[in-house]
Amino acid sequence: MSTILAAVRDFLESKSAIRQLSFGKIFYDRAPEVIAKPYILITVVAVNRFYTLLNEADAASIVVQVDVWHTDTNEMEKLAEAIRLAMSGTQNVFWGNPDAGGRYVFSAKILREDVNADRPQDGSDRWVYNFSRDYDITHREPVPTH
Amino acid sequence: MAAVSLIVTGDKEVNRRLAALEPKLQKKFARQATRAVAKKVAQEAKGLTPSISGRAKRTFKVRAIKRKVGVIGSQVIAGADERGGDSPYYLKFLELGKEGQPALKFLRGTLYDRANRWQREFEKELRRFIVAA
Repeated sequence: MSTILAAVRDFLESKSAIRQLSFGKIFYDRAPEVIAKPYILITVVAVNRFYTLLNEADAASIVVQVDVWHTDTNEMEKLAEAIRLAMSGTQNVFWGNPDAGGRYVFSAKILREDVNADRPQDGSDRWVYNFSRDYDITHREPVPTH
Repeated sequence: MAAVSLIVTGDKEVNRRLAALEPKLQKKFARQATRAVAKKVAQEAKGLTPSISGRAKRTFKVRAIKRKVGVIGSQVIAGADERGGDSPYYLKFLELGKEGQPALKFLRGTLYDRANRWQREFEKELRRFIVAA
C-alpha cells in the first residue's frame, strides 16, 4: 500500500503545473502542525485486493482522498484541476519511479468531489478552502512467486 | 413497446431468471434488493460512527433514489436531522477531515472496502425476491 502511495506522490510531483502551484508540498494522511498553504494531502480511504481461485492476483485497487488546501479559491481550483487533469482517466500508464516502487496504473477515476470552507481561526480573518476528491486507482501489484 | 432486458448482476443465473420476468417486476425486485442492501450498509456504517450522545447515529436513513430513466436504487443518508432538531453537521468533518484533523473515513470505508461484499449481498437479495415470486 505504501508503495502505491509513493507512486501517487511521485506522479503528482512529476507534473510541473502541480509542483509549481503546490510548491512541492504533498503530504500523506496529515500535514505538519504549522505549514503555509497551499498544500496537497493524500489519505487512503480503502484498499481492495483481487484474488484468483487459489491465490492473490497481481492487481489491487486503492481509493485515495486527494485534498487541496488553499487560502485562495481561484488558486485552489487551478491546483485541483491540474491534479484532475493528471490523474483522472489515466489508462495503462506507469506512475512514479520504476526503481523506487512505482506502479503500473490500469485506471484512475473520480468517485467523489466536494469543496469546503473553514472559518478563520485564532483571530485570523483568513478563510481556508479545501477541494477534496476521491480517486479510485486500479494498479498492478507484484505478487511473490515463491 | 420493445421488450426491456435489465442486466444488473454478474451472476448469469440471476440475469437469466430476471430477464424472464416482466420489466415492471424486474424493476420492482431490483429496487427492493437495493433497499435491503442499503439497510445493511446503513447498519454497518452506524456501528463504525464515533458517538458520544448518539445524535449522529440517529440520523442514518435509507431513501429511494429519485427515479429517472434507467436509474433505480436506494441511498443511505446521514447527518441531516429531518425532525427539525440540530443537524449533526460535524459528521462531514469527521468523515472528510478538517484543517489539522485527519479524515476518519468510516462512512466511505464501509462502502469502498466492502464493495465486493455488497455486490454479493445484492445478488443474494435479488435471488431471494425472484425465488419468492
